[in-house]
Amino acid sequence: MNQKNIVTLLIPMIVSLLTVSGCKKLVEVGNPETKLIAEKVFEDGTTATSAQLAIYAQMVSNGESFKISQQCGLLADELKNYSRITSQIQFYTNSLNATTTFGIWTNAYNYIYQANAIVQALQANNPLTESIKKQLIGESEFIRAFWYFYLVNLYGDVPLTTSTDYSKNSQLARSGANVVYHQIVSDLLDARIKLNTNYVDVNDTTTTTERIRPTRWAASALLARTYLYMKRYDSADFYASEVINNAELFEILPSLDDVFLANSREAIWQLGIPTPNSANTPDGRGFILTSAPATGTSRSTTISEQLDSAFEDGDSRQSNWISNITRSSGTYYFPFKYKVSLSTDITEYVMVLRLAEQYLIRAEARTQEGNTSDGLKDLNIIRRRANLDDYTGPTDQSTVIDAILHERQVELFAEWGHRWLDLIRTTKVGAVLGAPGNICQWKGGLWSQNWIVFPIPQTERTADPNLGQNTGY
Amino acid sequence: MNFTITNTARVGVNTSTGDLGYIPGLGIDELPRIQAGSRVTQTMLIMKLTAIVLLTACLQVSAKSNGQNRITISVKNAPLEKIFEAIEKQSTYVVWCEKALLQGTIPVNLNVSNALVDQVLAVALKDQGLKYTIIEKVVVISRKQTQSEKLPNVAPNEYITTTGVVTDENRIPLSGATIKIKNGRVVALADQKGYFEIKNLPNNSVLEVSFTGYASEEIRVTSASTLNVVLRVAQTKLDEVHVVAYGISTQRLEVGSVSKVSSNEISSQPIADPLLALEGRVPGLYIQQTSGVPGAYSTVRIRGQNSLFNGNDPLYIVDGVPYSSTSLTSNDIGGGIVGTPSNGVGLGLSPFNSLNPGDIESIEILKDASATAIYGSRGANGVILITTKKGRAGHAQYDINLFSGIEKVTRTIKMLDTRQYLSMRHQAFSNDNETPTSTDYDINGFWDTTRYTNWQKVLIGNPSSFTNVQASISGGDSRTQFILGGGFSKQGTVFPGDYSDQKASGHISLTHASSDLRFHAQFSANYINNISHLPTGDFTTITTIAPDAPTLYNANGTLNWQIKDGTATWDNPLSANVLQADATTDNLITNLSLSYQIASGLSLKAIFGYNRSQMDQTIQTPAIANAPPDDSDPMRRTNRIANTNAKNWILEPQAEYRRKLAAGQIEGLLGTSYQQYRFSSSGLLYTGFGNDALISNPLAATSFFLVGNSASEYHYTAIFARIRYNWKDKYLLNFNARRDGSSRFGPGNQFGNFSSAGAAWILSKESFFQKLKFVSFAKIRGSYGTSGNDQIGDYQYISTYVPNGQIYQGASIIFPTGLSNPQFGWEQVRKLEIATELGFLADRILVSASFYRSRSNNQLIPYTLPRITGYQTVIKNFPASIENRGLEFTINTINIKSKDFSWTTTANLTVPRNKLLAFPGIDSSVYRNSYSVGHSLFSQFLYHYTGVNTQTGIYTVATKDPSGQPSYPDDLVLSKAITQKFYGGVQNSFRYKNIQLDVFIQFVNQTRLDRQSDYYSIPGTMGNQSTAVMNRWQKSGDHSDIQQFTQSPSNPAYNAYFNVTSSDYGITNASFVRLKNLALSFLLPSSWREKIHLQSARIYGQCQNLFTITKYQGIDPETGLLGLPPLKVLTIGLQIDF
Repeated sequence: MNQKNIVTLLIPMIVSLLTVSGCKKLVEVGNPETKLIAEKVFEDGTTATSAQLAIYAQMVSNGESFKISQQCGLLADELKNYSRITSQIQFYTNSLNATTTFGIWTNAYNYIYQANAIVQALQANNPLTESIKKQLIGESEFIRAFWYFYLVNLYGDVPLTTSTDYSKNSQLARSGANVVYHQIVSDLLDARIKLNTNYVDVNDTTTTTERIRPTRWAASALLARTYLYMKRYDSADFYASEVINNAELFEILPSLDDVFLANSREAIWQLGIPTPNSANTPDGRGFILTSAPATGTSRSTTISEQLDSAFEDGDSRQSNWISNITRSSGTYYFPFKYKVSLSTDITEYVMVLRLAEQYLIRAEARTQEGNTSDGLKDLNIIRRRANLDDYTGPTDQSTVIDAILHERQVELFAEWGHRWLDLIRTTKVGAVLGAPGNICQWKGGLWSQNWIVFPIPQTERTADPNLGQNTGY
Repeated sequence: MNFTITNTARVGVNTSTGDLGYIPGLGIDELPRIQAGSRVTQTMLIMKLTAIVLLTACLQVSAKSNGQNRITISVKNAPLEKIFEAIEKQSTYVVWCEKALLQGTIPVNLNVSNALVDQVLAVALKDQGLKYTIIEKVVVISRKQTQSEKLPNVAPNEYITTTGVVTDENRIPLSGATIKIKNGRVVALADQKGYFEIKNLPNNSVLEVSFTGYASEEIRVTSASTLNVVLRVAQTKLDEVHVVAYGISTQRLEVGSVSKVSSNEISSQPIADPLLALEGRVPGLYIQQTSGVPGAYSTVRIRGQNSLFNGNDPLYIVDGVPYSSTSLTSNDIGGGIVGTPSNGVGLGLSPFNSLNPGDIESIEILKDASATAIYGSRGANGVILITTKKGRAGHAQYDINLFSGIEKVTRTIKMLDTRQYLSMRHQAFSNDNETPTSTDYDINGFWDTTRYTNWQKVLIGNPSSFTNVQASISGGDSRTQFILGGGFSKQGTVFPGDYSDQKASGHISLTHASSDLRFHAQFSANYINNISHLPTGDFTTITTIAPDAPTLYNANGTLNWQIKDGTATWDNPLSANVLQADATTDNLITNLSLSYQIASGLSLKAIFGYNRSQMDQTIQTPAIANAPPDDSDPMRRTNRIANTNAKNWILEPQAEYRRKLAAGQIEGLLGTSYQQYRFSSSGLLYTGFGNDALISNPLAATSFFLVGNSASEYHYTAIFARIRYNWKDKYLLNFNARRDGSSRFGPGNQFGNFSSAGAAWILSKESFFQKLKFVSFAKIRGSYGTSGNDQIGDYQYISTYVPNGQIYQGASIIFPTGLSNPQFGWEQVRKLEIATELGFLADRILVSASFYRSRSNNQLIPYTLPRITGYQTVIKNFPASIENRGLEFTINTINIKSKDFSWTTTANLTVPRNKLLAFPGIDSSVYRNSYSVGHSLFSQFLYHYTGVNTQTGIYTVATKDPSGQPSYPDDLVLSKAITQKFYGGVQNSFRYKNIQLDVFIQFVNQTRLDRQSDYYSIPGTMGNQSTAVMNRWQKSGDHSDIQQFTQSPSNPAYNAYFNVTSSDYGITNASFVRLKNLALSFLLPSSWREKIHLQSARIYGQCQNLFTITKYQGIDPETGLLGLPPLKVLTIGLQIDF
């Protein structure tokens, strides 16, 4: 290239480059390649559904079922602790601490954020078809209700977020438990109308046998539980009946070993196992012992003496849902509802809502309403499946309620914290854990009625000065 | 040719001219021998060529360019220009001739072969009325003077016209050299051929010719004549050239704050990461190694921490191309022992490990606003310019440098032996009123308590090797220079097992100028292949295994797990040894710079840069790393594989204008910058291998998971301008302005403006200063300006959803990446500097003192939100204001300088201070327990330690509650700043004849927050401790700083331990003085070298981190309590040039 050519090329190039700098186009990068901008997500049914399904997948990946079951099991009298981890010792000894205990707080509010984002986007001007919108809004409202149910029961008064606006949410104070309950109910009522009556496939409309998405029945089942907790027994009875009456979909399975299988007919809502996976359920992986209990988080708990002795003789739940392993240091009993520990061959799903609980809800609701005989009918359905005789004890309301609560203890153990929540809502927790010679002391703690709720995490209170603390923390 | 005249001789001496009567530098035998195909010369040529071919073996370029200024030409009736062109083409000479002179010249007939330039010129210019002057490599054609002209009879006050050429010692014209009347105005600038002309110059004037990086020359002009001025590279520190933003400068004339570390200082240190060569050598620069593992990341801070959170890294520029300081180590699969960079902060394999220290010519550190503002939005934390080696004109030079040596840890800790350990454990149980349980294997009888293993010796006590070989060829002529280099280095580790970090590199640089010297091109490429083969964890952290732990191997050679009830009773430390984290990095940095001078003083320039880095990682976990029965479980066999790619290109067109203005010289620079950076990474996890041996083959896996996949793009554009004005080398002004756009900000916030002004006054040039004879140089400089920071990661302003590879109900799930804030904008830093530089005793003593103050505001922070918002943080501008100020001192002295012995000293000292000036609303923010207005960012809120209770033997902290139970955050108190109080280094260099000794001592006065006495576990629990714990409290009345031994949570001492870990108990003095470098070299005497035909040969020994003086009780005050310390390196080497 001779110099004239260089000059004729170089000069205009440099001059033009010098002049166009500062142009906005040059600093535009477009949208990220490996990410989807939020607005685009909700313009398409497939991605909108993917955003919804993500919540379920994360609930499994994060092992929420196992964490809640284990933590509440330790707080109550279901599980015995072998872990040396400080936080786990704190759960066991009922000595939670605002600086170390987060519990479900972080993840619950993250799921609620995702649900809020979906509800917000689909309620705005949105091009998706009505059927998809209804199903997804319904599922998100259901999820929001589900997590507020656990938040309000574990923490008491909690801040209530129903939008994604962080500037507003970051300043919230705690709402009273009644306000939270009100939100749960209104979400579930709306979800019950919006959700499909059949299990839907990934396209949100086609019916499938996979029970891994919430349906109207899931909303009704959670409503029944919520009303039971709110002591609105007529409503609890009504919604539990709505589920129980749907014999086309649900039945109490005769074999205890079939209950927790994938798409079991006892399941109202299960969480599928996202693929790729290294195990089945987090519960199976976390509870089943293959050697002496470990000192970490996983495989570090056994069935407590209290729970073990709560079973009546001949209760086949004790033999089918509890297994053991013997080592020179002793024999260890562990929850065995889920039978698979580590296989990648998926045979079990995470059970969230199942029919047996609905029978026990209705039994309790009807008994509370004065209809003890119908209450006992429901109770006996559960007892018969466990190879127990029908209830023969006194039939006064209070005794029958105790029988139902006892049945809940042995039927629903190591499942989503039922025992701990039952002890609190029935105010029996003090008598069980705190009475003289109490279990709390036996576990190494010192009981106080304050311990019925978790502390509000200290870092949360630091970040949001409007958040109050529960008494005693 | 030897044509230079010494400095003293120059004044008043006219230039020598060559005509037929006298050809300088040539003996009479070599006088014109003009005949076709002279046999003699041809034979000589062949001999020389043979020699050269033998030497270079592969390089032909040099055959023509050196020592062979022979011309072959056969023309008839050719104009003189043709002859000149032929000379320029075939030789290293440049011919300078004014067009006017060619008018009326006679065409020439010439037929010569391999004739000398002088011979050709002699014939061509015969009878033309012209003569030639050879000034080094420039041939100046001028009119032949008549007798009367030759002896001008100029009266003293007359005006004359003079012309001249300025070149360097390698005969390369110094374009842009300034010519001024001594202590007066600038009268001319040399053009691209180094030529200048001065009209109306008062006779008998003294001219001062100067050029950046060269010693100025003074010439008395007494007649109209052609001057030839040869400037020598400055030998003084003040005039040594250093690289600044888009140009070069010297300390003497620099307005900004610039420090330089040259290749000499780098090459005297046996290091693999060039940043480590800077440790302690630059005032205002604090480098802290995070670990002694080869390739580990170092924290680099220039003048403190300006940003509350991210974005405290300086801007790195390698040969004009921005170089990312973010590690390529995958966040998806982790980095093994070197950790992960997680959001650009912290660890991972250092990207600077992918640069070859041997290829680096110099590293300049730009600190104040004047030096950094031209980098605008990215100069807030200072700029580090890394410049690679360029070829030099002259004979081809072959350089081979190799060294080899060993490495060991600098320090170890004295730990408990088995007897002491067991007594600690037993006492803990007795204090707790408990008995050992079935899992207390170390004392329940299951382990053999008569065993003793020094785990430090086993795990980090293995000496390793370090080998480095560098070779290069360089050379060229006045217009084309090259360097071609290659290197290989291999560094082992002190861990058990065969780990290493290995580098192979290549470096090429070509510089070319057109024959008219208007067009310049420069190309450089640096390539490195780095193979990092390291363990997945730091063995140092497991040196606290109980000293009576079992044997490492079973009798059959397998790992011993000391199984009890089917469960391993310990983690065999060597199980970690079968894990491996490998990372292969390929790094290519290329740069092409083209410039063209379109008019006098005006050049256009374009820089193209491209950098591509790729890292391929594999982290393998064979099943045998697990205790039985998992040691054959296929699902325990995993291979995590990640690929990371970074591509970066830059285009910077610039226009540069230089002219004299009034009595000074003005330089203007206008440029633009376009940058695109693309980053992508993916990670996969393979598992289910049937056999450990198949683990590196993903096809043998039964399942795999995508564990991460990301890509991002960063665009950046800027327009910048700089004006430099130099008035008589006395007053210097420097203005910078830049407008930047970054894609990291949302629409409306992308552009920002930054600027600075700086001025320097060289007092020693003032007449009133001349009386102070002992002060040879005095300068005051100052600058003020702004720069910014955009180190926040890409796409933070848009709300996005991302898949994680999981499938639920057949759909690939997507979830939100976090909260987004479209509003945030630039973080800004305002920098002020005032400095003085003084030279004494003819610059034998140079001292400088600087005061700097940086104030950053509009802090870009990941603002902490309550989790109830769904996430923990959102990027936000926060009106917090941080001040870093400090004092920097340097001193350079030539203590002794004689023919045989010299001794020089260089020292620097930095006293930094950091203060949070303002933080509106801190009391209601999450930061109220982290920072306090008016205090250092390095102060922490901690409990106040109040000693061990002499009655109970338990740690206590100050509490408001009389129970002694501390309450968070009410009992927290603000600690003093936990950081460096001052730091610096002292270099002493001694030379006696052929022996050179360099001693560099680094010193740091600092505190750390460490729990020195207990190594992260409670004394009394299972795990070894320093012997210091034996001074614990034992009985009522004991005074001790270590509480009673305990191992049980039921003992209140257990909880007290955790309170103390959040207290100021751990603030310890981590000051140290380190003999950082000791280099002794012996240059073979020339008589020996000649015998073996070497230009230069040097034998040397180098030591790094030879010893450390400190009161610190952990392993090393730099890397902390229980991390691999910087290694002690002892090498011997050989360097030869031929």
